Amino acid sequence: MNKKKYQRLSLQVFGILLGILYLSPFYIIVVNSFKEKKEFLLNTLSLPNTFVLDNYIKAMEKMGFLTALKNSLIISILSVALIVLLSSMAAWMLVRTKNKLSTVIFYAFIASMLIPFQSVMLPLVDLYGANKLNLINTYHGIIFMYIGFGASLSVILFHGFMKSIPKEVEEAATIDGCNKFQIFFNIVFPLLKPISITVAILNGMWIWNDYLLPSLVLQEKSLRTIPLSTKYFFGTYQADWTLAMAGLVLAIIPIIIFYFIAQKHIIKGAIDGAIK
Amino acid sequence: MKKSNKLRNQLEYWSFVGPIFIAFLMVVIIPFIIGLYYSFTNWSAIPGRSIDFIGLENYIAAFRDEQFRISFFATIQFTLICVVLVNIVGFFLALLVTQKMRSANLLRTVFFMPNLIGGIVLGYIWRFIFIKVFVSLYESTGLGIFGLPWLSEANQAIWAMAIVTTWQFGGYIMVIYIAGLQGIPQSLIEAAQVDGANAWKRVRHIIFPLVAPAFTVSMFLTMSNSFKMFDVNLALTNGDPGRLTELLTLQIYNTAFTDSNFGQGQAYAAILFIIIGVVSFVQVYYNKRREVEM
Amino acid sequence: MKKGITASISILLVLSLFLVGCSSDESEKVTVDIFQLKVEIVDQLQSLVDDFMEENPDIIINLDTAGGGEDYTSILKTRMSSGNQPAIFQVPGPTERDVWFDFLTDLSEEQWVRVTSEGLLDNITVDGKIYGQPVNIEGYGIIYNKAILEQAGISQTMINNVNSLSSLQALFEEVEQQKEALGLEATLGWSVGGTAWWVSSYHTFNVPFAMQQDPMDFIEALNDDTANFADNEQMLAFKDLVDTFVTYSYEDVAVTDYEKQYSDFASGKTAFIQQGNWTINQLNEIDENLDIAFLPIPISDNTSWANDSIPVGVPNYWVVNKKLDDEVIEAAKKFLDYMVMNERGQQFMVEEAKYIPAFTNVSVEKADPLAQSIITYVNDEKTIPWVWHAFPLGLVENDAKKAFQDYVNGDKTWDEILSFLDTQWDEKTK
Repeated sequence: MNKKKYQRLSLQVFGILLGILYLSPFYIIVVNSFKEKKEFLLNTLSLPNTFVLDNYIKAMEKMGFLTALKNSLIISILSVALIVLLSSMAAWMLVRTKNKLSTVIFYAFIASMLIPFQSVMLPLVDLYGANKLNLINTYHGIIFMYIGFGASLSVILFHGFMKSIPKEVEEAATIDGCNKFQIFFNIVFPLLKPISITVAILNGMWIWNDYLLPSLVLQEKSLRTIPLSTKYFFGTYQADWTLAMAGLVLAIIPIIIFYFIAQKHIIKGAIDGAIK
Repeated sequence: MKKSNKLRNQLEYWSFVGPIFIAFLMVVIIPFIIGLYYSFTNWSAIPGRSIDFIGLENYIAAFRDEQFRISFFATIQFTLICVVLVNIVGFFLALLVTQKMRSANLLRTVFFMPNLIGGIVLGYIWRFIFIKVFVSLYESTGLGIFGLPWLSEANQAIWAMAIVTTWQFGGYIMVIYIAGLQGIPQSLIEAAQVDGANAWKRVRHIIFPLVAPAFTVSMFLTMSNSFKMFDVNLALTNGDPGRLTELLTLQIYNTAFTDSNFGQGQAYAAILFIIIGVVSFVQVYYNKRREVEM
Repeated sequence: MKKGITASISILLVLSLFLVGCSSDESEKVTVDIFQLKVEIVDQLQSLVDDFMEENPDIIINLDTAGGGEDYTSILKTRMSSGNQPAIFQVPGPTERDVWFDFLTDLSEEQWVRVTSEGLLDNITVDGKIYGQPVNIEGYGIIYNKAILEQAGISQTMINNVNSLSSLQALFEEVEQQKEALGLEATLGWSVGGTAWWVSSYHTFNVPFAMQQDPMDFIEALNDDTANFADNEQMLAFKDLVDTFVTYSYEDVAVTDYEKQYSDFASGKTAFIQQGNWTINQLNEIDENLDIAFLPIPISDNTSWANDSIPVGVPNYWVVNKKLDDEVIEAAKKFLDYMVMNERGQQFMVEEAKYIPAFTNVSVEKADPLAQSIITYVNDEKTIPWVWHAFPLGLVENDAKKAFQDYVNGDKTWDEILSFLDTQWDEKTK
């Protein structure tokens, strides 16, 4: 028993050391976000001589932080919610309807994972531009695109998970006269909670941090997301590194909170499963 | 009666699959096909300029282009290193944070956090680490690994990119392995423990086979992600030295935007798509077979 | 609970439909979109725009800036493809001028044309018609720190006499000998890679072109393949300059970043850097009282090659999009006029953006030391042009950068470098 305790303790210590190593690059960000520019350039690694909160205030001002936060929240939350909902629906139907069409659609999703974004970006901008579909510079335009780009991975993940859900319950419900929507939303969707959270985390994090797509389709200042607005710390010849680092800290706090909360749900979900 | 039933089934089928499939078609597939078409033209992406069909010229040029060859092999090298490193690290992180310990939940967040920095800041920090921090570590510890010319020589620079990618992507893959590991009934592991199986044996004979599906997905993701790597490449080396570490996606970007040769860029992208397709197909096929064997 | 989730998603869905397409209706006014690339002066430019709108209530100007230090042309291109075209944008020189030629409005009749300093409109003129307004002028060269040179016992005469490669080398050598005593990490700060790749690929690379008999003719000749890098005298001589820079600069010139380059110089760890007057703000952030000035960038001892001059040029031109409505074009012209001919515009240029103006009606009273040094060279007529804006697209960013790095790393000899450049140039102009 003692040996086991010892093992657990050393595992704990190892984990924490590894965690510190993993976080060490963040040290550079956080420490420098409190420095004056001169000190940052001359002593990047040292702790700040005087803590300057100014960077945060300036960064918030320069980024238009509240507007950017609002934009990021609207786009990320709506996109993630719709991706989770629509891709789980599709994955369920694809798993439960075994025919050629389902197989083809599923393989199309897999194959599209291989498409480099760079190869679709200009046709995309062209197609959705003001002369054609005119979805540039709108919330619904970019949300629609995120659903399209997020579809593959999410459908694949749900598809894989669906296999572990017993068919019998659904069959019983069908006999009871439930339609497909009732079955899905009342029986299947709740069972998908752990994977839904995983899908939400992976997509949420990607969308929150994505730069390239918004930079192409959100060209108006009032629509800038957080990653877009942090780019304005970088000019042609000069970069406001200290502001940029403060901006980065501001940008990642919301997503860390989100992750931490979601994380608890995953574990709770797993425990729920174990008790049954 | 039967006919209307069939129609109803169809309707139900499409009301579930339709919405996301349409978005997917409109956003990914159609632009991709338009892009494929452009790869046979001299498209310059300047509005108002004529777009002429030039047949296979862009594809032939790709095979004559020395830079394409360099980028191709750099990409292969990078992908191989990443697939191995990211999966090993991701798997062990997942094993670690699914142990019963108090800090597990916190550690999951910690390992996942690197996903949250990208772009220019990521490049600055890691350049700083490789150029300055490693040098001072070398001076104080004398460990040869810190003294390598991490960014100034192509071989090391590709490793440097792989290290940063592993740091960034390891936590992502960890999340997928966690989902796989949590599917394993605790009772099974405890039973093995009672039977006297040591840690390695438990991992090898119980955990490996049961996380095999997660492994297939993770390997597929790491591979397509490494093939498509752009951020880390741009931020960390931007192709230095001498465009020897310019991976294919960055080369596509440079050809299209910097050289303003979009048709050629689209042709490179199509070739990259085919390469990733073939490699992933082989990988998934092989892994699926192994899954069964295990 | 489950129903709650479903319901809230549907509400979100409906909401998202309402959130969109709220473009305001201001049909009476003319809207002019400006798309520019200088993040550094956004606030100052915005305040100029605000004042302009106050004076012209019928015009609305939206100022937008390409952030991220990325390739402005790329962003401009996606913007144009998306159909969201700016009314005023920027074009750096002949190559981009030709790319966007179909979009450029003829500005020859504008008032400010008459007060533009001589020669500054050449790059934006086609068939005698002028298509752009110079934003400002900038210059670069080898900046030296007077305090350090004084400490090394170097006389101002020796500094002033740098007009050939060997005199520059002698100066470098003098400092190099006392490197340790002076506490220097390197004599010169120079780089061919990292975030400072442009220092060599744009600016150093420009010098042998600018020293041609007629630089534009030379480029023309390269384009139709009647001239080559490999047998050009200036290009062959250029090797000596690059070798000199490598000898006296950092050990790792291949990975040195811009931040290191300027912060080392400002904190006295290097005595010289090759940079331009745009660096002054960053230098002053570290040391406000630097006593600094420019030296020329000589590539040989040949006295007929302008080895005593510094490269001075127009980094960008404002241009007006021809494809928009007439009243938008007129409003855009009005703004460009305001910038040069109105006192408020002049105040912006000199006092707020701290530009060296490209116009004879605007004078600088209090310039920073680097701008002052450039003005001295201009007055002495010791300037050579900036010509990389006439190179084929991508040649600098992709090929020149590779050439410098390959040479510095010893992967290619100078002859191989020159023939590599020949091949790439031909490839891009065929």
